[in-house]
Amino acid sequence: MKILRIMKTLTHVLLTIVIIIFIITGFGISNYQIIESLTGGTLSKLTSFQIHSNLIIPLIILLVVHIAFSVGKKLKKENHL
Amino acid sequence: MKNTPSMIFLLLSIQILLMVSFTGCLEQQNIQLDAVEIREYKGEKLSSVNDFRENSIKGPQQINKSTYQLKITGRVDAPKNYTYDDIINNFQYYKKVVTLDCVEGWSVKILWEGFLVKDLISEAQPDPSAKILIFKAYDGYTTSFPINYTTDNNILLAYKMNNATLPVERGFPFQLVAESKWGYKWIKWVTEIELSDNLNYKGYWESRGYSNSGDQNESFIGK
Repeated sequence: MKILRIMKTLTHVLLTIVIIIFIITGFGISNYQIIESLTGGTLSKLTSFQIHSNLIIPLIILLVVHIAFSVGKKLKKENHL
Repeated sequence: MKNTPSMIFLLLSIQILLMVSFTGCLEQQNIQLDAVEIREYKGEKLSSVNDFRENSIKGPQQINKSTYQLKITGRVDAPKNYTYDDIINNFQYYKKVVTLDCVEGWSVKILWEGFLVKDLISEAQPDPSAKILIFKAYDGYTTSFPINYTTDNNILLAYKMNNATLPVERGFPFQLVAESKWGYKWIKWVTEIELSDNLNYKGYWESRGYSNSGDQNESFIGK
């Protein structure tokens, strides 16, 4: 049970991080001048593209796991009632 | 009940994120044109001049038509300096419906009207050593193509889109219609075409990691 709880927390934390990076890199594509100057050129349009497109699969996986945990929790609660 | 504050916080966060994300989509452009743009050509539905996203490196460039010059330089026997009227009045124009696909994910299908690049450069008598064309724009943007790409594919330098003169925002006086290439190869505000033998030349985005060929059937991320 402890492992499950750790996995749950890890999924939520990772999902939050991935979503934030996904949004920032999205802006890095559409508003690259702003993001490039804010990051001192570190997050260029090309880098944003690469990160953004490589994050799609991890984002979907984390989202599915996150939903599965939430649904599982709800079902468990209902069964107890 | 004990989760109510966190639920409110979550919903507010989602709402803010959605608002920020959709701000760009809701931006409305209304570009002034010198004629009513057509939205259908030979049964084909066309996009609007307003459907483009502004993503140039320094924003729209104001070019004065009366002082404008298109230079043909480099490995040529007779360098040329065309004025806007020289080009409009002396070259045969052609029409083509071509879709521009941007690496950002949007695309527009437009009826382009313009002049063949091969006609413009042939007047300058290219040297046989010339292998590539380097296009230079008013804002400092550059991109390049093998000469045979422009000759074999009848590539246009457009001065009209959807039957209206190119507006400032879309590259007045001329935009290259680089069909089958990613949008970053469609250079706007063209002021110079240099013929060169430097096969390793890289333009603005190409020198920042984008593919030099810009072929749409390949990834735009250069190897």
